[in-house]
Amino acid sequence: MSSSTKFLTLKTCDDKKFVLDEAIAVRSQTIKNMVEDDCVSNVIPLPNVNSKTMTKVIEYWKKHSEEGVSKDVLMDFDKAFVKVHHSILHALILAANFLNDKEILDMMCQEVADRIKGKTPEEIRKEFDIKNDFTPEEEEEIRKENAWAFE
Amino acid sequence: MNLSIPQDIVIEILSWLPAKSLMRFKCVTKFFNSLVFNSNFMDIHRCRSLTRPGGKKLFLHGSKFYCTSDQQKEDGINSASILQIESFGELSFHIHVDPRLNCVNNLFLLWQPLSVQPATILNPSTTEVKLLPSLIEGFSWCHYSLGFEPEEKKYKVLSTAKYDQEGYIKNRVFTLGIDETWRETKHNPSTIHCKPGICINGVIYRFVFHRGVLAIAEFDVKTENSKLIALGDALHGWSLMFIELKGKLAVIDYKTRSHEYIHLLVLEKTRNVEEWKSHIIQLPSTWNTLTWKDMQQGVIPDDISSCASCDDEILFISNLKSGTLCFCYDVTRHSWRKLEIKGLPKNHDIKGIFSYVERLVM
Repeated sequence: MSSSTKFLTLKTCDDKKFVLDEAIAVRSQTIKNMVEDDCVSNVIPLPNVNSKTMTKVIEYWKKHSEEGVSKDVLMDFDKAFVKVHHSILHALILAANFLNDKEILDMMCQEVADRIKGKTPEEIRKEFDIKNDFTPEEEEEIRKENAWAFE
Repeated sequence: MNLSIPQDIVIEILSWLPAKSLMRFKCVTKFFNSLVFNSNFMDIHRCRSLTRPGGKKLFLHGSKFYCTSDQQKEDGINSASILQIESFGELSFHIHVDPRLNCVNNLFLLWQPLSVQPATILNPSTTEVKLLPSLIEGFSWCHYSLGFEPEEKKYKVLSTAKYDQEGYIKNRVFTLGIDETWRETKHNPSTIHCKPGICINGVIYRFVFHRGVLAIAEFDVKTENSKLIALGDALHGWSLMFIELKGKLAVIDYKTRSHEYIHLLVLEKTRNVEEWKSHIIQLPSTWNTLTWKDMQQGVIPDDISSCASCDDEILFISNLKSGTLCFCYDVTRHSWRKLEIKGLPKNHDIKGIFSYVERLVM
């Protein structure tokens, strides 16, 4: 039985091209929708994803598409996969969100949560680049109510 | 250098956090503060808690202390793992000494049967504590049971108080978040046994004496109707404990004084037939060869102080001279593993163990 493998070309925002088996690329719901709607020309542009991030995503897709890989091996792979620098982690989250890959998105969000769970509110504001909109009195009151969580 | 993360992804990330972190992050912004009360977010958070490491927890208590622990599960093997206990700062200050507890859908109810002090609801995930209204005084004892009705997602507390002077028993109900006082409900003539009840799929089960015989009273949390279930076997009651096993009511008869097995009865409900199915849990074979002397020296348990079920396992707690022992039985694999408990206050016995999933609000 021969089924012709179809390839897609993905172009990242820094103009790098990735040629990928369509069966693998459709792990991205965004790409899948494009393929199903038949609006795929030769090249699929990915304006929100750079090549460094895309390389990581493809690494993940390929590993998880391999046949005969045991659960343990995949678990070890995932564990190593999330051990990346902060900035890559953020880029991967944004890419997974754009590509609509729930699996990668969940895994990465879980990793970020794991990294920030012990932080202080100040560190969280910095992490997500958000401004404190409480008055000092309001903030103090909420802190007091939840004093146990600071132990 | 941060690529700014859109708000919906920030919410995604927060949904994976333990309750304690979320409580600490409430003062980050007004948005963070309101998020934990958002019912959609609460639902997502609960889903995540079922799968993320540390989402499922154990609650342990003694006569004067309460603590929680992450559940350590090593897959497959009968290995010993460790429970590291984390205690609640000031919590014990609020609550009863030597309490009775029951837990349903991740909230706890605590009371003291002989005390006029009101029963207390506790959410261990947030350490939130709420006192229920006091009952009319003059009762000689009062037993409580927490129930959860899954369709309307309502918690109700059932209280049964005995007024000796007047010579009657009063059953009352309090719906959390709705009722302001206790309402009387249909009278149930049976005498309630002092063991805490259990709530499974919207039904509260409690041991009762009906015409001098031990039976189980069923209380439907939604309709507030009650009925009796016969226990069948000549079980005497003091050694019985309720657990939930894969959504079914089960009774553990632990004080068999046998080093070979524990008796487990599971209530099988099919259409209109209710039937107790009897199971035998074999104790680890290494215990069989031990003698009464070993037992007195505290090598093996002669009594179980509490048990709880969690997924496919039943956790048993036994207080030995040498310390507290926690051992888990896998009902699917029929295997045992031992859990070492670390961080317990010294010279304190564990009276109760419960498993729960993190929950953000009461």
